[in-house]
Amino acid sequence: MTNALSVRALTKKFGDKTAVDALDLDIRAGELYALLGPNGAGKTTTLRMVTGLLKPDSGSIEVFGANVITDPTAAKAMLAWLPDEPALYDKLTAWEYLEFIAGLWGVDAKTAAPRAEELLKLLGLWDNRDERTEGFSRGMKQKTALAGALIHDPKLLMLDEPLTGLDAAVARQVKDLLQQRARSGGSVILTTHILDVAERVADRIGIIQHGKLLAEGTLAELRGRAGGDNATLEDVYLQLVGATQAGAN
Amino acid sequence: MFGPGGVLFLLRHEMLLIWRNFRATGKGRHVRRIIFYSLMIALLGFGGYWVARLLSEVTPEPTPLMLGAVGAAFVILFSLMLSQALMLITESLYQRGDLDLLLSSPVPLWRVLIVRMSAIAINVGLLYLILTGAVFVWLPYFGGWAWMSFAPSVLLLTLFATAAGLVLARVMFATIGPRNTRTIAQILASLVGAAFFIATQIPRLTEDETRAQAMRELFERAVPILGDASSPISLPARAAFGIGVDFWIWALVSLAAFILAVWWYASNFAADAAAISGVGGRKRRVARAAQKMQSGVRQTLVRKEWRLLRRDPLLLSQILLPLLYFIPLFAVFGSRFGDQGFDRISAAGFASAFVLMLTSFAASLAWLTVSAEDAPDLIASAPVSRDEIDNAKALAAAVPSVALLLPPAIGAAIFVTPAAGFWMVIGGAAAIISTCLIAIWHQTPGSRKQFRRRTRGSLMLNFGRSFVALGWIGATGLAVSGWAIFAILPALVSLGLLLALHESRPPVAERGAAL
Repeated sequence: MTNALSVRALTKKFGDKTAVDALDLDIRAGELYALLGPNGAGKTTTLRMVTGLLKPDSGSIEVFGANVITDPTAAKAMLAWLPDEPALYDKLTAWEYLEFIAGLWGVDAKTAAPRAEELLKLLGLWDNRDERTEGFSRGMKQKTALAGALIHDPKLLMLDEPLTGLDAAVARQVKDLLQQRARSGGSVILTTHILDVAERVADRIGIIQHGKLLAEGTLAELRGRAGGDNATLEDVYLQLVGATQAGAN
Repeated sequence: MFGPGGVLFLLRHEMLLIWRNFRATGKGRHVRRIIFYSLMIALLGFGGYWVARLLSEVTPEPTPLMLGAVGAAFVILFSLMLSQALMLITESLYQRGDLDLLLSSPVPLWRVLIVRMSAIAINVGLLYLILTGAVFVWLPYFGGWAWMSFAPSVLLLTLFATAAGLVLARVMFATIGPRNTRTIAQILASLVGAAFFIATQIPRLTEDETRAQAMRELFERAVPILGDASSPISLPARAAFGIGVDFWIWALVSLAAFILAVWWYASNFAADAAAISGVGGRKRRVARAAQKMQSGVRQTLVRKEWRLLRRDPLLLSQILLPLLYFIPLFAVFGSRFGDQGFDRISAAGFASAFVLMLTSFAASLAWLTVSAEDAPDLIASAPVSRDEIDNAKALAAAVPSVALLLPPAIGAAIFVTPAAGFWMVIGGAAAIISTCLIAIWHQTPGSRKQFRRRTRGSLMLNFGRSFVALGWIGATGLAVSGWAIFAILPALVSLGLLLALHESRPPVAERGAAL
């Protein structure tokens, strides 16, 4: 079966600093994968390269078999990217924003309109659909951006810190939606600093530091590596990250 | 005053921010910048030297005529300063920056505001400070003591203009509310700034004799008012001439006006600031007939750009206001056409002027639609090629420009000759296409909010752009006047420059998406 995402020996340097260092990563279809790591570990850089926003120095990236570097259009058509700061047009309404995204991804209007209605209703934005997003709260903006990411029904959804700044109710809504998406066969990658979220929703977890994958597996597998069935993800994470930091020092 | 939270402490902070902003606007290597500033200082110093030398040989005579002339210059300066101050005052409220931080600190409100407004006054007066300062430093060397109060008088005018700007902004807040103030203030500031230019052009609408007569009458009326040594209106001019205590009275008046204006402004500031912070929160609904959507990448992008433009009156006014400068020009042609109809030469002049205006309009619009993007990552992550996106965005600028071109071109075809209309369309279209292509090749990416602050590329690029436009303007004029064969030369110059601008474009990766 084709992987949703295959990353091989991916490297990106910014001057002397190596942000991503010969990274190998495989995300299976229908999987919810959480990529964890401290600030500056290379999580966002990796996802930005997958999305085609950054050009890798070396390595390869394939999304459902489409090479992101040689055939970016085909790969992008299957992708959706939700950055940590939702990028909306404040003078457009939520409905117009979805219309715009649908148009960019080449979704037929007859398909896009009912899909937009469904998403806006699901995310509790239906009554606000004709309001300009400039008046939206942080949570509403995040939900609008999420609806935008889902309007073209991407095969691989990538989210960078999707729960930052959201209140508990909205965060719960987003988590449910992501799990639902994975259950229905969609692939999801998310980066987060909230370990509890990764522990609860992710099928597999990857821990990255200094641009390298330190460990990867299900929560049980990671616990096994940490040497205790009762260990929390936080214990595992701190053990792994702490060990390399101590080694680096 | 000097300690943390004191006036000078805050003023230093403001000056640091102004300096950093100033430095951030200038691109280029450190050495190149040093050479540029050294040349500017040398040039100013040289100019100042000669002006100071010439002035020192003349004793300032505050005759009614001289007072009137200086008074008129002060009126013009005041209008320009007021325009800039009004713009900066309203912007300082809407683009809060560190204002919330300062207001949440235990520093008294009046102190924060007096420093911020002083910084605005300094910002407004900086250019005049540099220009008059270049002369001022040489005056003692040549013994031109009698002219020494001229520069300080101009700088005091800055304080007075800032005070007037504060009063005007406060009145606008009270009468039309915070939501409209920003847009209206912007338009008003531009109108005030343009007023002098437009006013000087109005006499051109009349015949030479009538114009000369009108100017004489205007002068005869203005001199007794501005040059009346007993009138308070001539106070700044008298201060500039260093008459007795007039300079000190002018200093007191402008300083008092500034302090009183800040005090009045501060007394309502909390309410105004609260009203502004609520501006973005109002729910603005857009009426829509049915739950329909439209497909197609190009249509989607064009519609998005038009929607964003239409819903941002501030930006729209910034694009449209430069067109005001062309009104007197077209009024001249209009009056001539009304009197005797258009001959080919008049038509050529009109066509050239129109292509000039069209280029200015298209350049602003193309720059905005192509470069200004609030969600660049979203666009770059879409499965659409960079070229498709750029072309669609340029199209969003080209269509309104063509719509502006067609009516006068049809008019020229009907009232002059069909060939005149044809050449006007060709010249106008070439200018629009060139402008859009340059906007694509030399993008300056940024958000729409940064529109006003962003420069449109390097000096060389601006020169190139201007000369491409001039080529098309010349070619259109020549072709419309019946010398189409001679139009080939300026057209070729434009094409050559366009080619050079194409070759000097930055790589695609620097203009947007990596892949």
